[in-house]
Amino acid sequence: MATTTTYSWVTPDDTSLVKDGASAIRTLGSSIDSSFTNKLCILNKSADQSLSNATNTSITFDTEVLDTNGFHSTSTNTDRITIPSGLDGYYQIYAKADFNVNGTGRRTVFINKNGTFQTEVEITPNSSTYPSAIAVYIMSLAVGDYVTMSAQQTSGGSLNVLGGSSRSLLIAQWIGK
Amino acid sequence: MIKFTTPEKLDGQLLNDELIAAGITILTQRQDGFVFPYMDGNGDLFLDIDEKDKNKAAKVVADHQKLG
Repeated sequence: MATTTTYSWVTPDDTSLVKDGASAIRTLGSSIDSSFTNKLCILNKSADQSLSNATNTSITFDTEVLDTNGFHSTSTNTDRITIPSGLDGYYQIYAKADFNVNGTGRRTVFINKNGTFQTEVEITPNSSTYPSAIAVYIMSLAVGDYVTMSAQQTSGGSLNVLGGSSRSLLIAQWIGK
Repeated sequence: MIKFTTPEKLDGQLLNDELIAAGITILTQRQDGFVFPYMDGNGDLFLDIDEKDKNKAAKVVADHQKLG
């Protein structure tokens, strides 16, 4: 049987004698259906994470709000969203870190691919409200590639990235091949 | 990036200064000079330095103590 170039959907060969056209269409339809089922990972953290001064620190996540395809583990490498078998493609990544109140220095969030930063957002600190640094990026990811969010701050001492259901989070959404 | 054991008390700015004072070059260069050590999700410290500086850097990291 032939397959389509991008998504490998099974179709009859030009020379095939299609004995059951309805079945062939159903097979193709199921493949299309499966390809476009949402593939999404949304993570947050239940507790604050302390960042040492001037240290780019990977943010860990212990809560899977949604993980449709086993992108994340809550026991090993909890900072990573890893691309499972068959789910290579383009992903939109959304990373948000809420920092504790402190008016000194700079706050930065990075989106990293396999430990190497791809984009960053830097914000000014705030001594009265929790400042949020939000980075968004689209990247091509292969099976086994992983995405992390890291953050750094230069308050002069340790400072927390905030946990809690409405606070820091990392999202990866498959958008196509 | 070379992996090191993370000091109990870490200040990335101070550690950078100590590495430079020991003659170790931080390889990553950014326009604003805002380059700091990286700590992964397992708490391991990584420094972007040349392999030849690894032993010298290990001593700096071991001696590192946060001020204050």
